[in-house]
Amino acid sequence: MTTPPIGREEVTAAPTVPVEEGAKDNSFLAWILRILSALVVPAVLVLFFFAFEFLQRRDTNKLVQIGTALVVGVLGVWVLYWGMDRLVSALPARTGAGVRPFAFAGPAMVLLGFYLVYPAVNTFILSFQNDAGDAFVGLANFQRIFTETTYLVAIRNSVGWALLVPAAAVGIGLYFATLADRLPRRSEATAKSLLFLPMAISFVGASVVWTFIYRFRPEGFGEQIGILNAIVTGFGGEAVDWLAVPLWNNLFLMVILVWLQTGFAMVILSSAIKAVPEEIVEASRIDGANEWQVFRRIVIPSISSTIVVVWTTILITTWKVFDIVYVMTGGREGTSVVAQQMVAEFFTFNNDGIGAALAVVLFIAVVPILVINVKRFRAQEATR
Amino acid sequence: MDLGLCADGNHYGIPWFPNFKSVVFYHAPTFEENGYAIPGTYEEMVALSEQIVADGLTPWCFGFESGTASGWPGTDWIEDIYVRQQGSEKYAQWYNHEIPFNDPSVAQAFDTLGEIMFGEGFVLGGAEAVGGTFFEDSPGPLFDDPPGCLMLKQGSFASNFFTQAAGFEEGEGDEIGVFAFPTIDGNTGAMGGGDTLIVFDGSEENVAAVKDWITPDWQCTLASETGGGVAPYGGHGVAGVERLPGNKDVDVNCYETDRSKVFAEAIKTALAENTFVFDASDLMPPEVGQRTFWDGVISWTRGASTQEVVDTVEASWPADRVSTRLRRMRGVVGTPTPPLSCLEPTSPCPDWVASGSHRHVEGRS
Repeated sequence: MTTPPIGREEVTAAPTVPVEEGAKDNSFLAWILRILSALVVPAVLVLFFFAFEFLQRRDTNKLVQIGTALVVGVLGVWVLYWGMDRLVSALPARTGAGVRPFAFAGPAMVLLGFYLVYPAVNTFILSFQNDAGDAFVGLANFQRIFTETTYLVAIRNSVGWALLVPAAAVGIGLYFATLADRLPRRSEATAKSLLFLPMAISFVGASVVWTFIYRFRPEGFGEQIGILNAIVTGFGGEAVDWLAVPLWNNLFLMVILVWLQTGFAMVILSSAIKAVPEEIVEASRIDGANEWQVFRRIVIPSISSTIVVVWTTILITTWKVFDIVYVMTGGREGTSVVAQQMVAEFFTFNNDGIGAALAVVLFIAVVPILVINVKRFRAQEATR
Repeated sequence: MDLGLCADGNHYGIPWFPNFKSVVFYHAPTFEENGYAIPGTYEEMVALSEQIVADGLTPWCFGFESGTASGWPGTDWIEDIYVRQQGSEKYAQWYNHEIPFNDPSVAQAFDTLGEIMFGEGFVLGGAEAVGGTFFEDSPGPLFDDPPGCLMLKQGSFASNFFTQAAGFEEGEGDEIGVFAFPTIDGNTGAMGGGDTLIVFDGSEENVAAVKDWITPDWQCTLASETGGGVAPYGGHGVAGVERLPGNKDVDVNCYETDRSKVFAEAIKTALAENTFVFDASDLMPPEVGQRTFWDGVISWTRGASTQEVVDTVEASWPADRVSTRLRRMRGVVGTPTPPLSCLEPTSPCPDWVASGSHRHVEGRS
């Protein structure tokens, strides 16, 4: 094909003002432009200064403030990058090519370093210090974490969450995805939407909803307003303080996260199931495979990489779970988990050392999962 | 010691919203009908409870559940008993950890509460259920017909939950009377908690607003039942909710209900006699006062032995933490500078209610 790409012509045809080397326009207008250009940078700085001051005022109209923030922020960043681009273009081509990536990705890297790497390093340092963060105490914080009951219970529960929640979410998600695949198009969409709905609820919101499911009132203190106890007493049973039943209360809390994450697992797995080539399934059927064999030997191996990705994603979410426990029990009744204990240590007990040490434990525990994920991803990319 | 006064002699905050906790709410009509006398001593209160059980009624409502803060109503009981049995000086030694938490005096306070908590038929739903009863639900049975229980020990703010009760009918709130938590060994006491007001932005404008706001006149307006939503400072934001302003110069007649008048009078008397003490669990390190003490009281109601509970709490007391915390507080606060020291020491602070707090205490525990 010889047709030039659309638009190319326009660009080349765009009128360019020839700038003759040495010939300077000394007209009045040119001088004005020169002075103005000299003032641009100071003016932008002054504008930024006033904009920040304006944004900090409490008594101004919020809409105007939002507008200003958008204009100054978006326009400011655009102007900055545009300016950088022009500057880099002005460099000799070879140097420019080397500098350009830094000009564009550099600011993000620096900000990431400041907001992510620096706090991470500081957390490591804090984990070896005392509660006020003003003296080193060696490994004392870690020693406490791995010997005292409070922390051992939190670790035990976190491990329980990490083992059970991803398994349940992926299992139920896979089950629904497989069954929904057999439904007619429209009911499949409806069924999947219903299961996916909880994904739209924040963890705290979901926890508040579930407090009304588990709510308990002892005999004599009025009707059961918790739906679970209403059902139990409705069938003649005795009301149960669900969140105070040792060990089981952990499972009751996990149900919330499973409820939230199953939709996510189901949607991803469903699309993976749909991508299993029809020919293989057909062939296996012709060879006499029954439904279970097709599922076990054809579908599962075909979507195994998706399962691993979904599993690890939910695993990481589970490992970091804090909101649900914080809202439902605050870690009482033996339901604490590491992330929630970390927040309690930092912000309730003012014990920065232990808090940071728990953060480090969380971080170290999540590293292998990340490594596996990245390795798998690389291997997958390599086979493509 | 003045509330809001730091150990270094400077004021860091103004206690502006005290709660009074040394009171027992009771169902006045049933008391009148059956001719029950208001108990003056703890023994009389236990005897009255036995009498009520003998009459086929249930004397007590308890509710220790409070979401992530479950247990605090139980610690209030222990504190009220402790200050009466041991006096305010030993009470201070207790929360300052100058005596261990598993000191026999603490176990004695638990066992005294046990006379009521584990009395046969004393507690609606039984002691087992106390840890799972939401404290805002605990006044509910007072409004059932016939009342599910006759007595409830709770902070002065409990009257704000009356209208939530399923059996509540208009005007029934007045049927609930209050009496002072009875004496033990002849000792009385007044215990409470509260929130502290701190000016972070030390502009003259804000300091003036606070100074203006804490005057008896303003506090009198806010003390009224409709005062909650009053401009310009917005009160505490909830119209119809009673609260006790911290200024002791507020006239008792500012309060709208008889109950509030009783509370206000009791606080003023306690201040005059210097017997007002601050909620001990709020003064203990948060690992104890907001965790193990709360949890301990609940596990105790579920059957853990007193010794087991006090030993667990004692073991959780952080070593050397008080000094580190103070060191950090000084690091943050430094020597009082205008933005953080609320007002100059000569301003209204010394007129405020007396007690032993120097910490900013959040919540109503």
